[in-house]
Amino acid sequence: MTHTAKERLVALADGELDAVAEARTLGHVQTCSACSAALAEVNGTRATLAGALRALDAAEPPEWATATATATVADGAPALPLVEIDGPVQRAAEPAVLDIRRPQARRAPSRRAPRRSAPPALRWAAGILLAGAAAAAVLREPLLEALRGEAAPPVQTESVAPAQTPQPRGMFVTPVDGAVDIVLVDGAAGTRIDVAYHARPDVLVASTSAQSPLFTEAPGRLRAELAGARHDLRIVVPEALRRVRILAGDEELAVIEAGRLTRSAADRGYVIEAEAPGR
Amino acid sequence: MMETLPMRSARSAEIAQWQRELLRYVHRLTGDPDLSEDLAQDALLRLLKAEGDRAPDNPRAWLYRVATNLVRDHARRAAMMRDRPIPVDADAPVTPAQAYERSATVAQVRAVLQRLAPRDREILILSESGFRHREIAEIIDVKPQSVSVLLARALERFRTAYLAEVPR
Repeated sequence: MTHTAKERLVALADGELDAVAEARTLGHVQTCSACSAALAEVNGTRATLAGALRALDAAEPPEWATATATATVADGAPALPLVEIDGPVQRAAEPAVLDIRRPQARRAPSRRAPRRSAPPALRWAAGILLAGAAAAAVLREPLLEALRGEAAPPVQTESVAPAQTPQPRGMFVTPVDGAVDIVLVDGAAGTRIDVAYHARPDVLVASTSAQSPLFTEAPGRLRAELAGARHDLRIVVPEALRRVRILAGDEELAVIEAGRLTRSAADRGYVIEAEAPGR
Repeated sequence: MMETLPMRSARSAEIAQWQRELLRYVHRLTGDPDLSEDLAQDALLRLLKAEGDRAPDNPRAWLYRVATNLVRDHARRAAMMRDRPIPVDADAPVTPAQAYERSATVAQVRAVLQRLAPRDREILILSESGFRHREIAEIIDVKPQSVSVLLARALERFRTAYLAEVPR
């Protein structure tokens, strides 16, 4: 019997064959040791390729991973840290996602024209606040008042009582100048994260998880309903926004200024490790 | 400019995700962090401009196609992939990530990829990025029915190159 061509095995492995062709090819492969070995080789090469590319990803452009702060929430500690991104800020002239750059001080000689200077400063008080639904009660003044005054009514989603809302137990923060990645870990699917923009249309929220959260929105407020076991919620702020404070209730876990961890609460039950950039 | 916050933020979330993907894609192809940022941003800017006229049917594949062409153009201009695989500035402080980039594992992977033709690199990385064959065809501009043949050959060449660079 004729053996299966390599490209057909690749198409089979990739799920690109129609049902009839797939059944026929599979039927042959299962009874032909040579084709079975060839398919195993295809799959093995794919696995090697995936591993090799992941090795490159681990060395992704250095500026994307210049500083890392990891906070592990100890037993009995507040379950859900708040992350407050504070001003002063300048309004980005363009969508902020286009302003994600590596820190200017460490930027290699540019092949492009220098960026134009920022428009006149429009200063705002408080920035945005990322909070779990169950943690809303510990928002601090005066930001809370501002949020109460301006936030829209609750987003119309299926209601989950705060006590039953799954909560993440830890977080992983990667500050990069102009962008902050916040990864919430160990939360069950269905965990809800509210992001109150508070008149900050230049603050962007995205997920890079394999399973994207369900985003539902109302003016001034965005809710991310998480899926899967590891949650990756990315918050992108304008480059001019330099200060990020990570809070659990009133407890300050960490302060990141200009992409560097400047203060942490390692002595208060949280483990926060940071790798300083530039070393 | 988007008119309303909800539209804008939903759109922005999508764009932020694409940007991250494109950074990874271009970096996998070239090993050049500066170039990754420049080309990823160029591709996104082109998408925003293109959407002023007519939105692409598959924006993600469209972005990868633009990024692929930008990498090809750059390689043609500077022979970047052969002559400038990884930029190294001996005087610059070495970050942990840079140190890793220069480590043996990464150097081996880069060497394996450098042994391949640009189109083989593209098709392998796109395939690992989760694109269907018809999308890969659209991105690298080949016939859809050719993709499994090209991919099979690229995998075979990768395997050969890998065994040569990383002997068991």
